[in-house]
Amino acid sequence: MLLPAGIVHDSQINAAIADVCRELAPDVKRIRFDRRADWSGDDAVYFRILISDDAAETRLRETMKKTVSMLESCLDLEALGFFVYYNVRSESEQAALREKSWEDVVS
Amino acid sequence: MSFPEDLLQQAYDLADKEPGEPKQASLRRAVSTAYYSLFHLLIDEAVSKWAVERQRSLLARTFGHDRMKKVCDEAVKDVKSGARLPAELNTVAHNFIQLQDHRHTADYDNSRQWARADVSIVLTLATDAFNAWSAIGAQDDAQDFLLQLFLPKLPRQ
Repeated sequence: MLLPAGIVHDSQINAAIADVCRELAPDVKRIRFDRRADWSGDDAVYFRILISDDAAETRLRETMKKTVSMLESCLDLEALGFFVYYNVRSESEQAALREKSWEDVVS
Repeated sequence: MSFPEDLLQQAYDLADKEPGEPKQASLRRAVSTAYYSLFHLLIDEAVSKWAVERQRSLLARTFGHDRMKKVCDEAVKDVKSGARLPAELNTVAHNFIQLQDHRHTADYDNSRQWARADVSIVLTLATDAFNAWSAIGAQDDAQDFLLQLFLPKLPRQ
């Protein structure tokens, strides 16, 4: 299925992510995303939010709420027809799980 | 407790089953169960209005995941476009969509690893949806929402 990649560019999403990470530092460490179809074939954007261990242990809910809210207000992907999904993990969880899709992108 | 509430409690129990190093099986079942707790809550609420009690379980089988997602999406979009719907209905609909996708990943994507933080947020989505539903379940907007979950598109009123 073709995703409407022309509607929102990766560079726009990356710019929003940079703003969110800057604003919510040191709690939000990095955010990565994928564009693909979700389980029912709808266009979707999946965000993977990596947060500090401290944020995960003491203010997980607030950190997620702030992050999601900022991403929504910066991008409003739903208005463009995307379903938007969020996942979160802490730095130590990622260190244990070592999933490549959550690692920093090294150019 | 009702069956949906039991499911929600079971989701929490599964998530906490191994406090140190959680097994992926426990986390994945917790995510799936959290979704099904909300799925069954909405279906139970809808079919409870059907007068012939012996037909309710049959009626419950007519609900489909895809249809429910679409109705939830419409509710979320209605709220965003300024429709005067209760904020709690938006919470139920929004969280349902999130939970449904998480459940699909948890049940079918073996490559995906779950972290406790992620599962904790999933449980929060379900709990928030339960609380929101409990606040508005008796209101007309919520009852219309239930009707749409299994009927063809309703005419505009």
